[in-house]
Amino acid sequence: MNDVTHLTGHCLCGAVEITVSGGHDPRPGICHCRMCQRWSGGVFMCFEAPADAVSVNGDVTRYASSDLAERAFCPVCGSNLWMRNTDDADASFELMPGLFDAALDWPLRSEIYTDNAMAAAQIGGSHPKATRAEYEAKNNYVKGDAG
Amino acid sequence: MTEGRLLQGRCLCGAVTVSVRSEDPRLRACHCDMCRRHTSSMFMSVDTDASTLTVEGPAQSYVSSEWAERGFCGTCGSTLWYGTKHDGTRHLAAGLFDNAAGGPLTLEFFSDRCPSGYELAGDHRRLSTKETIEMFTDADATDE
Ligand SMILES: [Zn+2]
Repeated sequence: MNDVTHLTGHCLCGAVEITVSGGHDPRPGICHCRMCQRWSGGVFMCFEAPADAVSVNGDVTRYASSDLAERAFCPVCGSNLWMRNTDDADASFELMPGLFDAALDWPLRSEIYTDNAMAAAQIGGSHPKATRAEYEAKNNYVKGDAG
Repeated sequence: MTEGRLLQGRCLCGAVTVSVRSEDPRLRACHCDMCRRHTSSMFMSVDTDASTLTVEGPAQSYVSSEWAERGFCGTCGSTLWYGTKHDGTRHLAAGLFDNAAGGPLTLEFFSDRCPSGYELAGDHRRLSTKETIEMFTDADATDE
C-alpha cells in the first residue's frame, strides 16, 4: 500500500521537523520486543517511508541499538523519531507515527512479538499478528535481548 | 518508610538505571497529543512510591509545559518518566521494567484522543478529554 500524500511532522519541542514527500505506507506497525518496549516506554509503533522521500530538519541524536539498526531521537526533548537499518545506505525510515497528525486515523499494519506484550498493553483488533518465533523465523533480529 | 516491592529498571542502552518501590504497580496510559509525540504512541506509566526513587546515569529532563517535565536517556533516547513540577513526582515509564512490573492497566487518560487504528483491550477505566481535564482540575493535580 502506498500513499503519496505530503506529510509534515515534528517532535514534542519542535526542534526537529520531518517531511515525507512521496510514497510511504500509511499504516503503523507495533513491536513488543524488549528493546522496543524499553525505548518507547510502552508500545512501540512505526511506519515505513523510503529514504528518498524523507527530509529531516534539526539536530538529531542517533543511537546504534544493534549492529543492524539505529534509533534516532531529539536531543532537546527526547522524542523518538525513527528506527532505521544501518547496513544499507538506502534503507527505509521506520518513522514514529506520533510525530504526524495525519497518522491519527491510520489503520494498523501489523503487530509483532505479541507473546512479549505487557499484560497491560494488549491491542484489540483483527490486524495481522506474529509471535516472536513466527517473526524470527522469517526476519533478521537481534539475538538475546528481544524477549 | 519503605514498603512494597523493589522494582529495578533500565533504559535500552543500560546507561540509566532506576530503583523504586511500589505496593501496587498498576498502569496508566495517556493518549494526549504531547505524550503521543514523545513516545510514538502513548505514554504508559507504573504507579510507584515516588519518595523511594533513585535514578542513576545520563537522564535528561525536558520541561514540556508549565506543570510538567519529561525524562529521557541522553545516550539512547529511551522514555524515562513524566514528571509533575509542583510536587517533583516522576511517573516512570512502564518499559523500564520487565512486563511493566506485572501490573494491570487500570486507567486510560484522553481515551477519545487514541488514534482510531488501535485500542487498548480490557475493562479498565477510560477517561475522555473532558473527564481527564476535570479530574486534574478538581483534584488540584494530585493525580488520584
Ligand atoms: Zn539509554
